[in-house]
Amino acid sequence: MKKLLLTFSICFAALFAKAQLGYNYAQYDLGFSAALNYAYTDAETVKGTAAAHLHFTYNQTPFLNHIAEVQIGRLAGGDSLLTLSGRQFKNGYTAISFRTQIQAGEFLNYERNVVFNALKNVYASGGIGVIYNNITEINRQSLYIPDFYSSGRNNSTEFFVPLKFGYEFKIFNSYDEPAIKVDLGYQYNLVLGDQLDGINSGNRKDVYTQFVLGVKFAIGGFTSYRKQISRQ
Amino acid sequence: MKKVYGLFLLAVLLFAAGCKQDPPVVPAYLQNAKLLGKWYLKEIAITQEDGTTSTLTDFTDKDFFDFKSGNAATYSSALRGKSYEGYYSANSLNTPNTLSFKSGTLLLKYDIYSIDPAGDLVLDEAITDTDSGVPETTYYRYTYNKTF
Repeated sequence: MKKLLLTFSICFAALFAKAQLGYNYAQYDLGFSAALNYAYTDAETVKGTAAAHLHFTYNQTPFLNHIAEVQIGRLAGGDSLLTLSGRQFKNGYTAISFRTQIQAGEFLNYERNVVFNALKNVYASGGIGVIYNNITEINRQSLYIPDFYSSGRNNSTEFFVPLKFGYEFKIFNSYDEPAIKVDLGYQYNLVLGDQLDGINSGNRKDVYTQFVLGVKFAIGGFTSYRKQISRQ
Repeated sequence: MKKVYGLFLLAVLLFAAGCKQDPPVVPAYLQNAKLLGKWYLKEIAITQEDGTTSTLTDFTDKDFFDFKSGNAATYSSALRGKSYEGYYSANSLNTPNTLSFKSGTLLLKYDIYSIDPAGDLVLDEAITDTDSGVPETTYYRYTYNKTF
């Protein structure tokens, strides 16, 4: 009877065992974000607009991530009444991008340091993307300067370079795995063209920036990292 | 740790770069440096369709165009009894080159006959009158000079 109890005890103990606690992570995340966009273009004033992002992340490590993202949103700027050029636009755009993101935890030995542990989730990322511009509203004619007309295209496709930095709050589950990640970031998108506003003018290329708040959910492909992800 | 500093440096650079825009510039083809300055109206030659010509020369220092940088301009007329602050464009893409001035609902359009910064600015205007039922065009030639 004692042998039987001992055998059962060992078996039940195995149910509660958590091997390599804190080292495991999911290789695949799925998430979404909301963004506040600002477009810096040939239009004279800047307006804030909204966008929604859907992203799939491959986590090469917990701190080295490859992200495929789709953005659907609006960009707007200018004022036909209150600016000399009269330029005003609204762009209902769709963008696809691929970024590689590196977090400070990849370099830092944060296990025994409170400050480094807080900094481990700071990240920077860069990549390449393509944006499909669909100008839904535009004013090209100046109200004030006769003959001042700003030409451009209402529909265009342009490549852009997304650069982003931010902080990824990792929320751990009972197995000490990062199950949910909350992302707070600032993204600078350098468009390799001048049609973001449907207006081709000036020397600078167009840019749009984004303040991003997102969430990612671990969806599978669990594996181990070389060090503990959560702090001991 | 140096790599972490690199991340922060990138962050600062991105913020710094985020707010730069092209300054709003009026296209070069709508500007003409020869126009800059104050031009007083000296003469209007009026030619009717039948070839009859008359000339007006009794103008005051309240009859002028003042063209400034940034395409700003002031148009003043003693006959209208007021001056107008607005913007001009000298369009070199048109043949002949045109000069337009706009202030609110007032829009003046001329063909530029000649510009000599040390001499005269000569502008042409054709106005067609359809009130009588038969269109009649009257041609106006305005001569301005920088000295009053």
